[in-house]
Amino acid sequence: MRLPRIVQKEIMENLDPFEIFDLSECSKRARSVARLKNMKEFRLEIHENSIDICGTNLETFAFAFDEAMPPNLDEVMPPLLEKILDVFGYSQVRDFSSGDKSFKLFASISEILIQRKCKIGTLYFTVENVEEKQLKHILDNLNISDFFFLDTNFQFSPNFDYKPIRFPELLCIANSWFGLDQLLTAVKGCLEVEITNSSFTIRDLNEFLGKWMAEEIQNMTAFSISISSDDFLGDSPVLGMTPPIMGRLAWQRRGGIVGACIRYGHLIKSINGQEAVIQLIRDRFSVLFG
Amino acid sequence: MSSTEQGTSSAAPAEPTTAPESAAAPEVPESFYYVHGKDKVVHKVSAGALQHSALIHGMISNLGYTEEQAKANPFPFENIDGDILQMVVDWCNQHKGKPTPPEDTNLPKQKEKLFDLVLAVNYLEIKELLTYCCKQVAMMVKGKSPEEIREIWMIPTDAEDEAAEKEAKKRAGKEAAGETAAAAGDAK
Repeated sequence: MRLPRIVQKEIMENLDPFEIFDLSECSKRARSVARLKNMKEFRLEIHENSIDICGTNLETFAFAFDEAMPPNLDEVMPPLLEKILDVFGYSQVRDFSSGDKSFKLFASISEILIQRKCKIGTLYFTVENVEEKQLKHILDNLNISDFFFLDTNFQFSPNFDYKPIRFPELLCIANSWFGLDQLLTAVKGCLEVEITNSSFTIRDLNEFLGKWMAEEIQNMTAFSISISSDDFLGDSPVLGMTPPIMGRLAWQRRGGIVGACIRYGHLIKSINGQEAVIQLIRDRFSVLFG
Repeated sequence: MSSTEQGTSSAAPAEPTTAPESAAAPEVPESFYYVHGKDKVVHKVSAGALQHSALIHGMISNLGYTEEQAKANPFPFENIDGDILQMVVDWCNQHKGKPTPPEDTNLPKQKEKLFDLVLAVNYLEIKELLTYCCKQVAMMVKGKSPEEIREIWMIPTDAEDEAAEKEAKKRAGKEAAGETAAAAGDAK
């Protein structure tokens, strides 16, 4: 196709992502032409067994694998992802869902995204079998901007010392490994932290709130925290108050792309008059900072 | 330059198929310009039709030619085949002063002709026609496999590209050597 670049570009705008990808397979030169397609309107998503390019009109171009006779995804998906990143020039992935089956696949894909310095909007990590050292390396290096969901029943060992140092706006953790240390780090980067299935104790809660009231947590960014833990069931006091802890205040806050609200909250104040509302009902604790 | 004044069709050379003058003609008479392609066949086209071409429109907007001057100075487009220029002129005449429809089904189906038309239209900067042509070129490969795309769009393989590049380098090297030898000869 010996046509001027500007004409080639206009032709590319008339092709959909599947056709662009097929063209890129023709030759190296054809790949450079395929790259002219403007992909601003298309978002990239990585799922357990497909790589999707999503357009603005709810159209999805799924580079998927046959579920009935799947190939070895650990082998075929990473090179396919590299090709797609090359052809379409993506440096951003909107959603990356690990699936629950293969840590190896999650790790291979993550390494590609780290090497290419790709930004990830949302990471859903749900793998049930984890290599702790490798996961720590990945989480320390992946650039997650909006949401990070970690929901796995994997029992992390006490040696798993990952602390979130690269912060998305919303951090959701459903695992007992996430403790007070991790929370104290996460509140200095995230806007909202949600922890479920946790091993938090009333003692942890008192320690955290005590530090906040004493204004010992410097540079706090989080305005909303919610924690669910079986240890909260019972009548152990929090800041001297016996659960359930409720009040008459209704607060809501928005920040970035997240928002949170508490109805029937109880007001607490730090030593210098900073305000927050808290609520503890059954196994769920919430706090919204003013 | 030997030229034959023609209309939009070479089969009807006597009068151009521009809007006929009538009692209802506008007060200011329409001006005409002349263009020819590689085949030197001259086409008379109204300024209104030529407005589609940003290139020609730019050229004529400040000329202020009289009819005689325009006739004596046809715009030469030596890089455009006669039949392709004819298609372009026809399209400009058909769409003179009209809003362009969302699709144009009268484009050539033959790929070589379509590619030539694309090149001409791009050169003449006729935006709407270029849009149609590019859509048509894209339509050629809808739903086709990479191998079929390669065939339809005549895309060389990597090996063919590499061989062509080697050949071009070899040729350039030879030409450079020839020029050096000629320069040395001149110096003597």
